[in-house]
Amino acid sequence: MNEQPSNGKAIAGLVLGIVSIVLIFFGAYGAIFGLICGVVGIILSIKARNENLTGIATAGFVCSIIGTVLCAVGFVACACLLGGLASVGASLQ
Amino acid sequence: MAQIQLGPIVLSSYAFFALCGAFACLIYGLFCIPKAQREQSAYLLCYAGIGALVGAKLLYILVSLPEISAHMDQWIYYVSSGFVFYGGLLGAIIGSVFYCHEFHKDSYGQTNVLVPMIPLFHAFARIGCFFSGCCYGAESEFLGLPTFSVYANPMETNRIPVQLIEAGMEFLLFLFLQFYKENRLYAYLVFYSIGRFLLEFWRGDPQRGIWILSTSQWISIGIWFFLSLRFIQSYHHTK
Repeated sequence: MNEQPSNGKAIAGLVLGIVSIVLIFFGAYGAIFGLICGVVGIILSIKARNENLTGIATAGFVCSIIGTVLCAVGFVACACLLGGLASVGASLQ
Repeated sequence: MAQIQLGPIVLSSYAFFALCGAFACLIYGLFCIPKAQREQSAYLLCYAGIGALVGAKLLYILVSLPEISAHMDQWIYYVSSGFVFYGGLLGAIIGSVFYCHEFHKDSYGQTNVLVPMIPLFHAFARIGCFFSGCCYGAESEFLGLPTFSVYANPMETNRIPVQLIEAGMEFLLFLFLQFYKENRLYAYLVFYSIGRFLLEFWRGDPQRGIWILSTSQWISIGIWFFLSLRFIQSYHHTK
């Protein structure tokens, strides 16, 4: 039956979403793993929702998005910093 | 002002303005995406967002590889602080195409309405760059604004506000795409690549390219070359 694989994906998405939210509180390394968990959770939840729209799939989708966004915000300092780090070294000398 | 304090929460300026951009895109989506299409658009945007994150980071790592390999003990700092817009754009396009292919959706129908979100989000992100002090412009007493950037040398001087100029260009592109509704992605790429190519001459970052042009300028040339080939191909096809 198609319902069981999609239930598995939905549950996995929910678990990964919750894990990604928790990992925000573990510093930069936690944020990296949280980001990875959140991204995988989003993909699994979307697949589950497309196959079979359930409350668990929706909850997993929402938790994964929240976890991913919070990890990304906590992790990202600045974008397009090409060569900027060399300037930091030069300016501090 | 590299950080913004909202009560007990301290956010980097870039993260704050990126969130503002995401919120603006949400408002745009609520007004402009047909109701029947919203759910699928949300899923497509998730795939595009993941692609953008991966693409922007990978291209940054690729062009910064010599610097990162020379400071492997600080890899977490280098990996967390850098993205390249063109890498993100390419990643978003790949993510969108992958989503439409996997779930058998019409890629043009699904993505055309979402394209204006690119310049809208990017405009806010560039304002965030200005306040963060990254992607700074060249020094100029005549055209510059007083700026402070921990990434620049000297840190405090008058610089051309290329971040704000690009943000203005992106807002204009967003407005243009409200009136031009066919093949919006091509239209956006045509105008953005020209603007980016020209603005790169006013950037003050250290040399970050190949030979006389920056990485982004070479990519802009590549985009124009690709679009020209597609135009010639479609012209011959309709003939």
